Amino acid sequence: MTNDQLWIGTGCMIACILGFYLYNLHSLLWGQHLTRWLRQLQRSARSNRFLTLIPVKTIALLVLCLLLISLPSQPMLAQSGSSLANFSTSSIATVALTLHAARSEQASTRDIILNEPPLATNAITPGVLDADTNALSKAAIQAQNQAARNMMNEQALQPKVLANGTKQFTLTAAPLVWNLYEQKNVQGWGYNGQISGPLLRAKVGDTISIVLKNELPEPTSLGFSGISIPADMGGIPQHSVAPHASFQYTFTITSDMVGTHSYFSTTDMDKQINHGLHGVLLIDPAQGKEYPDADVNALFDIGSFVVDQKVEENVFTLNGKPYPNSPELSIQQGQHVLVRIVNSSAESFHAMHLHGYTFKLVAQDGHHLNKPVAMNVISVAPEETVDIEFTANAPGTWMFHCHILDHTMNPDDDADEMGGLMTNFVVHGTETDSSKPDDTMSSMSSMSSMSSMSSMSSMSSMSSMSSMSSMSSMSSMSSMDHTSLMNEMAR
Amino acid sequence: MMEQLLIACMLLLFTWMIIKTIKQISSLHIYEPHAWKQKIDRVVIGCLLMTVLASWLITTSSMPTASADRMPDMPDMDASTTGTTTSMSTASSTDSSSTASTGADFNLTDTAMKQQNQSAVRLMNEQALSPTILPDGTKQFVLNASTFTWSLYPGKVMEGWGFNGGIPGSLIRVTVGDQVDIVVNNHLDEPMTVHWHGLQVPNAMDGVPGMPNPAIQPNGSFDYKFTVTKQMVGTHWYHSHYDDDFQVDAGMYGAIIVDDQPATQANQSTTATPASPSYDVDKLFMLGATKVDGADPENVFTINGKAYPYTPQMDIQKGQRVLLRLVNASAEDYHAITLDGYTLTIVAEDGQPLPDPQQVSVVSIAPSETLDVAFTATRAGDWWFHSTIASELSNPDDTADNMGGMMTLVHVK
Repeated sequence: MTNDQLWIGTGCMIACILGFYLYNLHSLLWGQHLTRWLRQLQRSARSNRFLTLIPVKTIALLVLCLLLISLPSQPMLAQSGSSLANFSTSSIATVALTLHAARSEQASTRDIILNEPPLATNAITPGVLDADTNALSKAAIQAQNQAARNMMNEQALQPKVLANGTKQFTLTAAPLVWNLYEQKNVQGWGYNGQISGPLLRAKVGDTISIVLKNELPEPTSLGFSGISIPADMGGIPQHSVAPHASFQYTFTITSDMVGTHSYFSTTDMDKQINHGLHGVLLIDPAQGKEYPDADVNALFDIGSFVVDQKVEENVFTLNGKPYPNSPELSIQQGQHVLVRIVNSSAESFHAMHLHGYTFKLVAQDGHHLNKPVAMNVISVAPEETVDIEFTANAPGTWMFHCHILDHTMNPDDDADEMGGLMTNFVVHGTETDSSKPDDTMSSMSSMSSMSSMSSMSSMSSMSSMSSMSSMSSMSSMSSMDHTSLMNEMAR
Repeated sequence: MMEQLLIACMLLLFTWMIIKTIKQISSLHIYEPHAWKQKIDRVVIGCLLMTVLASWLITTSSMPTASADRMPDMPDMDASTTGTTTSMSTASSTDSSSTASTGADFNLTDTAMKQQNQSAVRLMNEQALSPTILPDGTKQFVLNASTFTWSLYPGKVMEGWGFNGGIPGSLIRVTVGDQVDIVVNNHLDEPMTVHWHGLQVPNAMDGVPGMPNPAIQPNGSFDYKFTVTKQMVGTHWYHSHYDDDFQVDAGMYGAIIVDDQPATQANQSTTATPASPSYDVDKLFMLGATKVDGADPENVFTINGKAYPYTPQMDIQKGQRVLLRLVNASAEDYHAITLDGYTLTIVAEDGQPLPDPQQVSVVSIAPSETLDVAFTATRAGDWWFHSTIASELSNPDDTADNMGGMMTLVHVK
């Protein structure tokens, strides 16, 4: 059953329920207060009259609607989904409001205080709500995209060093407006105003204290993957932090914690993580680096959102941004690259594929493998982290994307446009490295000249070929030109 | 049929309600205000329910014409065994034959279906596409992308998109040191590319639209040229990278096997010889998936393009050492595979040999991953080779039996 059908069905059923209530809606119809209607409803429920008021027609319609939902799916249903979804959500909102009013009235009469969050549409759908398309200025969107790039370059949050040497990080969980792609702004939740949250980085031997301030409308808490910390710091929901309260997660970094880990909300996880409450925790050894050989370190935190009132995750992000806003990695040819990948999706596995290279899996969840495994697709489970490495010996722009191919599309883009869980690794050619007496390299360089020849020859047969392609293939012929061109483009 | 019946029911209810409403209004008595109130309520209810019904009906009836976007699933057609003979697009399909197969003729004859099933067996046996050797020694392969009718399981055919008239496309088998020229002709209505998944080809040959070469336009063609390096040894695959969620599931994929030693190329067109002397039998299973009946998650699961009972079955002699190459060519789904009665050893991942081969009963394989598994046929019998994800073991709307999807039999004699 597709989501759209579910929505249509729910809409129809809710309309029927509304109709049922309206049968008893004398007072409301005649301009009286809602509460009087409710009282009348209660009275009628107690009296026998209620039974006579049960509408046979409505029940018949209900059954009919159920039948309709159970129909085998039709391709055209999806088309109607959007129009009917609007209708059904509005009716859901109405029902939610009336129910809420009824509940609060009952509560006041019985002196019970309900701690529930206010009922709104986002309490029914797990996803994020759209924000106004003009809610963010261009500068604000650029700042968000820059934050994603900074995270890729492993720029960490600076801690405050307390008198006893404890490093204190402050994470404020608060609602924010987050730009995903083009005009798509959503009402996300983030730590310190960004999705993914800021990178936390500490060394073995440090005592760190993470202050979680909750500015959300509901309780939240922090959990950490892949590290053993004291039980009372584990972020179990019992320790959740109430709105406008805060909590300090204090623990000492031990040597078994070295590596890539993640932090995330552990309260109402499905919703809160997919609203943006996740981030990365990097633990370095006491001295030196975890990977001393790496020339380039890159960090990608995979996240996801549920937009457009759907039920399943439908926007996938790298450091909070789907393609084309995802951060692009720039590498010089010959550099040794280490990429840390964290899957902070609440629900989905991902199969990350890098074009043009066979990389090595060197660590999983921070644990180094005894023998690195060569591959070109790495499967990452939710909360799992992997470290991969490769030497960038082939110049060009190489795609790095999830091979679950509906994860590389943004929901309302055209089918042909790429989006979602994808970015490019741009390997800039250098003169010195291309002359290396490397087996694969020599074949590569001979190939690049061949390839340019072939594309030139096929130019004549293909009218649609742009001059850009011939330019870039020509530039790959002389690596010097290529470098300067790429540098210009980078600038 | 069911749908029409329901609409008819709804129309009946609709008219009945209108009549009721008119009756209610006509029976109003101006001197009984209390009764008047009640009746007005019912009228209001009637109107509300009618609005719901009307909006439902209007959207249902206007939907077929309002299909501006193409749905990401395959249109499936009636599989009629008595229909006229369809010209099966063969390896040498021309423009005319491919455009003919995009027409309304979706029927497949029994012989055509058997031919298709036989092609799945040939792929399992790793019978590769024969190249043309050019004067300079370059091996030239031709891949024609076109649409055709493809049968999935009894009673179900779909509009397949594929290379050289089959799903998966022709197997390309080359050796280290080969100069390769793969000519891709696009006879589709949509642009396409070919990405050589797992082969470290030059950037311009990588087959990603616009990076840097644009996609191959309809009726266009492109020469993918590269030299086969040592890195490429092993099991890999190729697929379109344009509109890939749709095109891959429609069938735009195929396998590439790269051998280290040229000796295995001697009789590649008839029977495949194992890539390594440590195996007696070398087999290939491409695990695919597709969407039929307008479903959004993938709902037909295939081995070499066919769902059980049309999946190719494997015959091996007792005692033979088997290398089984697995490719997950599904656009969206993970798979988990088991061979009843046997423990499998994963020896390579994405074509790269594992430093420590791993013994498993269930092989988990991510989308686009390739795994080489090995086993020695020590136990005679007919063994099920199947997905362990239970939802992948049936075919949609297949009433004949409750088995289907990603399963087949391995006969050890």
